Amino acid sequence: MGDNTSTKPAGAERRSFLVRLGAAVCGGLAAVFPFAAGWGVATNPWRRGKANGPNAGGVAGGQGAVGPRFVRICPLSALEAGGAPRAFPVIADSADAWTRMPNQRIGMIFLQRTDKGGGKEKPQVVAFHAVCPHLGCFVEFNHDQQRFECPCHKSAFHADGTKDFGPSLRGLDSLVVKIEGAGVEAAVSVAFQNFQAGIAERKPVG
Amino acid sequence: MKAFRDWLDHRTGYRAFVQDALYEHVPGGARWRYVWGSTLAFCFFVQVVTGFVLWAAYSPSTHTAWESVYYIQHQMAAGWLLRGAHHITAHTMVVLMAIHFVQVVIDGAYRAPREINFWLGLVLMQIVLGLALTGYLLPWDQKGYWATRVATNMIALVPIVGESLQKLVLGGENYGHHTLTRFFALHAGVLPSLLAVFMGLHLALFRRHGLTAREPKRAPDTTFWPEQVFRDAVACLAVAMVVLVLVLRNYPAADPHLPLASQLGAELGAPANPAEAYSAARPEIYFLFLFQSLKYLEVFPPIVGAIIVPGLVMLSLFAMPFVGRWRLGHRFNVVWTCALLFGAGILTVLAWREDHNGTTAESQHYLAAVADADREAERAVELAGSPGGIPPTGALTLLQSDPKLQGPRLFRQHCAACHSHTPPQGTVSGDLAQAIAAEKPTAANLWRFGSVAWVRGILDAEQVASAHYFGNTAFGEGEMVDFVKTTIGEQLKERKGEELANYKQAMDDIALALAVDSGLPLGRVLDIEKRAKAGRMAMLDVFACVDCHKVGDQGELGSAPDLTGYASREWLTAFLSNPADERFYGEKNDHMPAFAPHPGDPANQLSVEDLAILVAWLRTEWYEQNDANPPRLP
Repeated sequence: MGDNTSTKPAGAERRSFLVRLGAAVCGGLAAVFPFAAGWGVATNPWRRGKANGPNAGGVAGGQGAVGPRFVRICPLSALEAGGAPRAFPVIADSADAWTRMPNQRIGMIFLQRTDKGGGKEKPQVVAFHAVCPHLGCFVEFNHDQQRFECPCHKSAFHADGTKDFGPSLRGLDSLVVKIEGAGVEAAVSVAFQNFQAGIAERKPVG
Repeated sequence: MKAFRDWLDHRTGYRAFVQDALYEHVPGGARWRYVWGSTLAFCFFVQVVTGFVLWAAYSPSTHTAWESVYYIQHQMAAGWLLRGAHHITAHTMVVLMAIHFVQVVIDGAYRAPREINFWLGLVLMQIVLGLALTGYLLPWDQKGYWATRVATNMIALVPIVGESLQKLVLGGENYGHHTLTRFFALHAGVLPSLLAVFMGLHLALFRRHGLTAREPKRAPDTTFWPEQVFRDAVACLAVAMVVLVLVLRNYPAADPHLPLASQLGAELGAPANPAEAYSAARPEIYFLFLFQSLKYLEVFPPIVGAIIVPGLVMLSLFAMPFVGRWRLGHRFNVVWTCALLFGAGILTVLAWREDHNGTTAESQHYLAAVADADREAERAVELAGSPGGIPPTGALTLLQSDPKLQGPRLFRQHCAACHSHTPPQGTVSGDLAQAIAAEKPTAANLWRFGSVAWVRGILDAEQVASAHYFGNTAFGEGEMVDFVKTTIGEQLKERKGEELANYKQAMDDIALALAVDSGLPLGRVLDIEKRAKAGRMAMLDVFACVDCHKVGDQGELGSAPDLTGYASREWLTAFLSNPADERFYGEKNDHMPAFAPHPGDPANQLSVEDLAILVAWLRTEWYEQNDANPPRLP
């Protein structure tokens, strides 16, 4: 063992090559087999239509809804006209792989009513995702400074969501708001979705 | 490149290593019969790779194990292929192990100086069987659950430490989350690590002693690479192909009505249900001989069949190197091995035949239980894939609250002593799997109770006193039967032409009106609102139902059941709760028990949940995958 002095009879060169080739091909194919069998499951997260998390559709079988869905957040009366931004949980049915859970907190948002109220103007509400676009901590609203601040890496944002200072590459992610109903029935809905953190552009996740 | 290899070799000595590995001496030339050990190593490699991917998608807890395996099998891309490959390769490994073992014994490869390597091989065999046993439980389906319970109950038979040992394995007194976490730790951590270590030792010793060459040598000595490697590679590829074919074995005859993923690769039964014993629980096929031997050894205390006999057999294998030293020892070992394998084969066949012959009562019972389990498994997959999905409490909740599955069980248990639930003779309607015939019906047949056809039948003089309705009850000669036979009968005789047609139409309309108000699924009926209105009117005037029955705000309670919302969910729930209530039969109630006379009382025969399931089932309200909103009867 250990000495490579295998003296092959002359004329066996060709056969030897074929045997080597056969060994490499068969061995290679056999070795690939378990990886091929596991490929689909291992890379399942890459496949669209199987999205998990808050942006997934509520349909088992993973026909993930394309785009955001409107989620009812609160009655309009919960927001003071011209008041400071207030944090609200987003409550919706959530789907996580095989589990369907009704009425889960799937995120936090800030709502602010920007009109003066009094019924003269149409009510205006803006919504921001509470997740800092820098690296995903929750921002808080600092009433003294009238700005959003991230406790993790000191990013700060103006009350209108634009970037003030800090490491974040973009302002807070605003969300589409819909006000349905009128009078005491009026309710605020938000098209809730998550965005990729850490980059300059707004890129929806899922 | 050469410079790099020199650099690397100088620091690692890899060349000598590769030389050692590839140019191992093969006395007498490469042969096909030397491939078995390599195929086993290959199987282990496949199990490690597929096992790691499965690990990345599996969740070991009683509420998530079945669910995550379901998700792998049915929702993840080619999950059935992954699970199938892992499952079938496990089976293949056991078969290859048997071949390898027989060959080692026949070739006398256990003799000096190879005794220790032989024992290492036997230890490896135990580890592989341990992997098979622990893996069987992980999907947490009925089959694995109940079969593994038998195995773990055997642990308790070990003298003195048995019960403590069992607790260690189960993670407590009972099956639960920690049984799964522990089995998973054994299956994916402890046992594979041990297998790797022992396989390393096995190979190291194999290299040290060299191959046990088969005499006479047919060819000049050669080296492992390339001739023997070629044979090993072809054999491994063949094993992979066999596994693939077995994974796909049901593909050509796949049932188009079932999801394809249910029929490929490894089976997934219904989620484990500790409250419902699965009487068709059997171990994996390669443990069937043990299962069968227990039946014959039952005359002895259980420890004999479960531990002593298998232990002695194992001991006899370990003793082979010593036995082999005697003059006839080797022959004895060969004969003994063949006898054991033959015996195991016979026992396996016997076990299989006993279950599958279809003629004995036991076999019929087994086959029925298997068919039942298959249906349940199918239904579990159907419900898990329904829009409602799997709740956080797990898939078992879905099955336990499913009217289609639980309805027949509840009906058999509580109702079928008196009521049948079968389609009227001569009609074929609905899912006959839901038909239940009472042995001695003493009350009305409840097939599609409250439907148009059912109500229409009660207004028919031919049927009202038949066994299908009041025939077997105290009301067989009651006022309703009298009314239908006499009053309606006379009208049908007297009326002619259009008058008769109108009268009959009114009866159809009454049946329709009641069915509409019950909220039963009706399908499409022309002029449904207009006819229902006409029917409601007919109940007031032409037929004067309100003389005895209450209908809406007309009529009074006390003499006959309330027809307001007849057969609706609310009506049925209240009726089953207490048919002797003033709203229904009152004091005239025949034999029907009150199933929930005191709302919310745990002493009720039917819990609130069971009552809701039974009512939904009687009303044929359950999820169907292929037809979200199927047109049902009139």
